[in-house]
Amino acid sequence: MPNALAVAGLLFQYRANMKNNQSIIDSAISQEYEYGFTTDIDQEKIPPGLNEDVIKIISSKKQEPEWLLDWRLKAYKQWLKMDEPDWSKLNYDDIDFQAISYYAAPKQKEKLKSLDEVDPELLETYNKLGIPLEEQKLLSNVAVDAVFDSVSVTTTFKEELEKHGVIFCSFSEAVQKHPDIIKKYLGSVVPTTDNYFAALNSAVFSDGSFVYIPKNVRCPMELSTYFRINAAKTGQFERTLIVAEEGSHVSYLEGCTAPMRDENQLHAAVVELVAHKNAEIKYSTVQNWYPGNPKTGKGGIYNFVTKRGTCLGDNSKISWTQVETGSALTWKYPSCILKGNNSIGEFYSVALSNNFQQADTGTKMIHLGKNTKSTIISKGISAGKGQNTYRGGVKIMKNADNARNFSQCDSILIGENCGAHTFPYIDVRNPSAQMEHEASTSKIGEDQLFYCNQRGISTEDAVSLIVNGFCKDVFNELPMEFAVEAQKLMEVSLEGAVG
Amino acid sequence: MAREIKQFQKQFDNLLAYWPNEDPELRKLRSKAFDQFKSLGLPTKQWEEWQFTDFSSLKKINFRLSQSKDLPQIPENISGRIPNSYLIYIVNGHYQKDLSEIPESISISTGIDHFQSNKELYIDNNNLNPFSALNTSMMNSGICIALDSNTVIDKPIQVIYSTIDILNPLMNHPRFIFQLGKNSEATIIEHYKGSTELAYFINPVSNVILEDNAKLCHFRIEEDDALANHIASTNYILNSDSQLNSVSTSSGSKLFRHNINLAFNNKGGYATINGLSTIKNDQHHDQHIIIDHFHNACQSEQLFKYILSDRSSGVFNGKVVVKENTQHTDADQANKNLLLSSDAIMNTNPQLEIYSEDVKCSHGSTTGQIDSEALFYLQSRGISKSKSIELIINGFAKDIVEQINNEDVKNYINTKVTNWIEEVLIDA
Amino acid sequence: MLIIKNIHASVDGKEILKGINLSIKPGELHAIMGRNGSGKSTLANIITGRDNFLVTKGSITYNGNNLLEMSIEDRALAGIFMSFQYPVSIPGVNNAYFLRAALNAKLKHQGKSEINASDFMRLIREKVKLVNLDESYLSRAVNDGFSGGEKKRNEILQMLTLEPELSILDETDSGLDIDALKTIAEGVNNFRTETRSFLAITHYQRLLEYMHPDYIHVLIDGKIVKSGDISLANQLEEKGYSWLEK
Repeated sequence: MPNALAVAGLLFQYRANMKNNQSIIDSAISQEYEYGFTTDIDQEKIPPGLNEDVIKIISSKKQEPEWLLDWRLKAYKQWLKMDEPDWSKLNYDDIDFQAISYYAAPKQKEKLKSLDEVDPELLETYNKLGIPLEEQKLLSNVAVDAVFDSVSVTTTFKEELEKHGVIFCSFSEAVQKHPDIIKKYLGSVVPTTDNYFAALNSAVFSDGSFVYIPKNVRCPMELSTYFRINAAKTGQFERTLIVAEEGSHVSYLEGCTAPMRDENQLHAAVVELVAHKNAEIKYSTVQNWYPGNPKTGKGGIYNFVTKRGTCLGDNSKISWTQVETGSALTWKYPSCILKGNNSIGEFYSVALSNNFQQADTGTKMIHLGKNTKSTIISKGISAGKGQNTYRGGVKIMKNADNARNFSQCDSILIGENCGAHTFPYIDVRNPSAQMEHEASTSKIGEDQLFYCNQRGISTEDAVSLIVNGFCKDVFNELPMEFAVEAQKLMEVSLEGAVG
Repeated sequence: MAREIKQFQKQFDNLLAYWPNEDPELRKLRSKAFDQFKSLGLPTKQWEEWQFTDFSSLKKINFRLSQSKDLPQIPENISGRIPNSYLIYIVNGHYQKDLSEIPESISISTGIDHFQSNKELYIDNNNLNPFSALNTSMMNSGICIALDSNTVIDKPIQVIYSTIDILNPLMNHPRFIFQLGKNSEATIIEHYKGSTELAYFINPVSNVILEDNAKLCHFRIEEDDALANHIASTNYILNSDSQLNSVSTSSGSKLFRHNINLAFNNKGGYATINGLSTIKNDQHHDQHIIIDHFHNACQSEQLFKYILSDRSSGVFNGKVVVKENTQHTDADQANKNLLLSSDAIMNTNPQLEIYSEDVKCSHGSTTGQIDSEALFYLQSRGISKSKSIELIINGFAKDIVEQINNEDVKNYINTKVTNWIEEVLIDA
Repeated sequence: MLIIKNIHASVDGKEILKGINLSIKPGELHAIMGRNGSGKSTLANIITGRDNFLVTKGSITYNGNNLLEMSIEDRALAGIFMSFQYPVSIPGVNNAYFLRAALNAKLKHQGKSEINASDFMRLIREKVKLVNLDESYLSRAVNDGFSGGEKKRNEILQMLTLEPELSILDETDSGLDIDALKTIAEGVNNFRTETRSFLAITHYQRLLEYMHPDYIHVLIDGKIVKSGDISLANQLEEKGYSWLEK
């Protein structure tokens, strides 16, 4: 038996949402961080530390082609020369990159035929995550295979997707099966040298998901990936690539949880989106990594994520929606490069920092093409000792005639010891641009609380009601079931915010 | 040592040699500040707070401290004189006492005299602004105006700092101190005016202190020559229930950088800080404003507007900081920019940093060109296109000009803005 | 049911109420009249528990309980409702959702099971008609972008739904045209029973014409200077307030 604490690695699972599905976490919501269990399954983990050999091991375990190993090693060399960014408002102790294990995976086993053969611990994990048994069965080997054997997965959904020519698989699988596409786009939006954490990710990324939507295909269902960090002293470095060919359309969702641990765990992901002419990508995230102990601030995930999309073709559109309620630290700026004429970038964000959480998050909209349009709606909620920063950039470059940007960043403060900060960076180099930025910060409305109280609603419920109303514009952008989940998450995360 | 630092070192040594009998404490202060400047060096693109401004022009030219021989023939008509005001007149760094008109009720002293009795005002605590350190090390001109408690000055005091007819690239490091005692009231016009055929470098630091319940209107007008480098800091300290109305306009200088720092030192302060920059050709104007709400029930309002023509570029960086456990803070910050040319660039970064719950803070920023709907509307009423544009730009500037509550100053600025618009439109 | 004894109250150190005595029995409709600044709204705020008022002296009991010791929501759950003079908007929170949350809080308090969404919608559609509001109102955010009249009707709608024992109508007539006023008065009149009581605060008598109060009290400078029946309101209409001042 493996050590109960140093257990299974990253749990990585796909699900295609069905119309009337219950939300993933819907039933599991309760007062405290619900996903703080660990899973006791046999796993394979290489010792902590980072050097070229570690990268070679990762690459060979994944049976990667030579070019990808070279790409990783090049990124690693660049990373060594880079400095950790220090411009954010996040306060944290130095990360010891040599104390992290860069590869942890459940042990390879024989390919399984039925659910009965699955490690019961793993099934238990699914149950705790609230993935209904029915769905587990339905997914059958999807989940099972995705975890135990990242090569071949067959599901009903997958067949349905294949009919439309949609590719949706793990990144490792894509490297084997679709090397040309990967080679063409990997690092094309987020170059290895983009920033410290992106370089690190490029060197050591473990897995992730890959989506390819062919020309003129409207993806028949929402695609989603569910991430979970399980193993102790492990970093998670996944990489997602979505390519939407001309005239295609896809909506993608990701959800994240992690166990409760006293030490901090590093999550450094990279997401790249490419939208060709007339294509549209909608990317939604509900991030609920373990935020650390609410009383002591100990533990929790350090979430350093680089997400960027390029609207390559004319009339293309990329829309980011995020609900960030978890993590001890969040450092994340989903961005859009608006190259194509008439392309559109959107960013809708709710970020909540309660207790000891710190979030420094926002977006970057870079207008290159003519008539490009961007919208930024950011809602920050600070409670407890939480510190919440919006940091966003809008760049309107010289040739971006008639570019438009509208930004609205509102913050709400609950309690006396929290902070809210707004740092927009606006750079306009074309006079035909119309750029408008508005921001406000205020404490939760006393008149509103009184009104709710006078109708018999308790203060705690009133806070949750008001905050959810405050976030409405963002929740409206989420697919229905995620919106419900997000709303519940807000309630849970605000727990104890009012005295 | 970098070449430019060596150059400043030489000037610094000359200054110490020029005034060998200075108060030893002042010399110590200068040396410490110069060491600070040397350790910091000139800002580079890597400095977050300075990243959008290029200071290489200060490296290319060897600026020499102004000396007594640099005092030119004083012109008969004082350029930029605003009617119905007292005058403090400084030419190329030299105070012209005889030409000045000073009200009896205030005390005026030059920097060195003032230092003797107000040493604590000159203490520079770990200043990370190299220009401010440079000013402290070489402060060579400037004036201190002190108002006793309960003094009310009937007319504005215009301080003209004029740079004219220079024969070498000069530099000056004026230090102004405006002290308003309890319940006192004054209007001070800090006016920089330049007309030269050579580049010069002016690096003023103004420290403004309002005691309890004092009221100050501070109008800062920057009209240095287009060849000038004007780098300035204005530091306001507001005590209980004091009120500040600050309007700063800038239209001169090739390189202009102004740091405005305002600290509420006690409860109940109220400040409006407004600015208007009208720039053209390859002028670069950069303003950084920090307002510290460290006490209860203080209110601040900021509005900064930029009108940019030709290849000019502007930077606005405004920050409001609300310290933890302060109550009833009300802060508003706005930045609006009008781009008149396709080569103009505007960089704006309004920031709110809030560590307290009981606040009402907002900021807004817009950047755009002349509203075509408004233009169409005016033209459809029979107004010519150029006149319509002029009206719209004037209207844009008006918000700031209207904040000037003295008619003579307002007329002066109005005329300047109107002339500027006409010139820009003729050139276009 | 509500007994107010010698209430003194102040805000920011300034005394607003200077000894108010008032007793409301089940089924009664009391009206308090007075000029702006006489302390009428302060009285309403003290009964409902807004905490920026300091009660310095006196007592209020409600069904035998010490009201001043109860939290705002407990007072509401005990059956006290205020129709606000200036209802605040709560952006993003839809009316139906809000009202159901309030109703469920009440049902839960009474030990009853919560009302499900479809039953609630059936109930609320009925009530909406009573106050002449459009059904689309239900999906709009609470008081957000409402006209003055809509806000007041919304208050009455909430009253009709939550069925309080004691309703305080704080300047419910202000800013209303005569038709809206009639609608609201009618809503209130139909809602009146032998057990429900009302405290209407106003400085015009026109609302009272439609509402038939049992008692009228005149509040001047923090004190009730005169009480009487509807004829007192008519006198005030004719003569104003000055004849009651010392």
